Amino acid sequence: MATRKVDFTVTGKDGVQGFWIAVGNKDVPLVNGKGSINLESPKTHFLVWWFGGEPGAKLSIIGVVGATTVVEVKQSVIPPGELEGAGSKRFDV
Amino acid sequence: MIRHFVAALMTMGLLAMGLRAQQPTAKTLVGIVGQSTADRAVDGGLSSIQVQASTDDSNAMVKAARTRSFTDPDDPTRALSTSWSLTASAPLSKGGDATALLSGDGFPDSFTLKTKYTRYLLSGRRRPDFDNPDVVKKRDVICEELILGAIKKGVSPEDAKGLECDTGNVKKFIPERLEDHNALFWDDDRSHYLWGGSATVGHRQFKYLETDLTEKSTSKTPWGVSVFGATVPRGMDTLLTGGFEYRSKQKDADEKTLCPQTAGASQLECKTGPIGAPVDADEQLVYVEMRRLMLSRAMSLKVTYNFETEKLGLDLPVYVIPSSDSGLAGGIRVGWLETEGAQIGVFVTSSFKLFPN
Repeated sequence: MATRKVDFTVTGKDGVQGFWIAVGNKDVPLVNGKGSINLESPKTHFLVWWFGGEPGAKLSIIGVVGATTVVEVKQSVIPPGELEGAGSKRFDV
Repeated sequence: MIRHFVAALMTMGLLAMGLRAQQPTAKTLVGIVGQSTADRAVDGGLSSIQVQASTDDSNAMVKAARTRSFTDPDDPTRALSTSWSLTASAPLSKGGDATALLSGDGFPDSFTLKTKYTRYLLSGRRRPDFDNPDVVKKRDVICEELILGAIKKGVSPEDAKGLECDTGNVKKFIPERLEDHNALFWDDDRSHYLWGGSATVGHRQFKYLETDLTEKSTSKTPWGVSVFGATVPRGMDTLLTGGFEYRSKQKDADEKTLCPQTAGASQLECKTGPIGAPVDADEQLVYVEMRRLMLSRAMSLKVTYNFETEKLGLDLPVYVIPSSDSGLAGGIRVGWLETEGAQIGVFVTSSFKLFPN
């Protein structure tokens, strides 16, 4: 199966202390919120994210192949009374 | 790329000084992004430095920073994030010699260069096994219930389908399923740990009067180091911090007005200013702090001991309004210094943050 490189950009604000993403069981190391991973294509994958910080802290994620957006998390929020947030999203490459 | 970084550092001081007269603004100057390869997840290595320039009410700053997010190779439940920064700052206006005991970097009116390193560890992270159909099914059931729950609470079906399936929305629309959702991503036993340190060196020009009223100036090089460690223990909305700071610095001598002794003169020309060379004002501070969120209130208790003066200080702001739409917070502050006794007052500040900046 062919692979395609997906470039991720992760942005945290309002008190995010740390954030991490993975696709399936592969972590995507990030430097200054940016990281890349090669994924099998055509195939459906799961984006997973975790983050820690203040209640109300917000995270956004965008994954692109070239100039095409393949997955986007517009805003994930740590709810009141919590210090961690996490989520998952299907996407196709 | 290293050339770019060196060039950025060389321009930082000039930029910081050039911004001294500007109004508070913030803008990104340069974003240098890491390289990637075609066959694996990529860490951009030392090639990724972000440079930003900004001003606040009292300083112009230029900052180079690098953050990394990764998993502990020896323990996949431990997620790590590191941040390093180098900041050059210059004062926007001169004046005063306030020396904060309990807060601030402690280098007023100085051009400073500061490097800071922080490491953040979140333990208890769990990677859901989405190769297992049972796990996928469990996840999908929760996400479908989330959509139905949002519709029940008045969200339009179209908007509900667009909601992220995450902790925030699960807690908001189907709080009874929060534990099941969290179980996909976290162990019960999870804690936050932070530790790090900083080193600062500055340059400050002092002007003063000799007793014969001649004006003199001298430059000094204040410097300091700090280390800290902090944790949010399991299940607690409380950050416990301990740290040490050493600052080698000076301050203006006491200000006085002196008049020359001129025999027979009908008018005296007097001068006011610090009399004598600047005096040492070193600080060796050790502190412990507890910051706690309590529903709609927050508080922070910080106890500091200064080994130079052998004095103890205490600061206890209680946030009656921990945050607001305007980003302001306020409450009642109790302060106590061994030298000055207790003080109680009302304060208005920026929103309460559990974690340090």
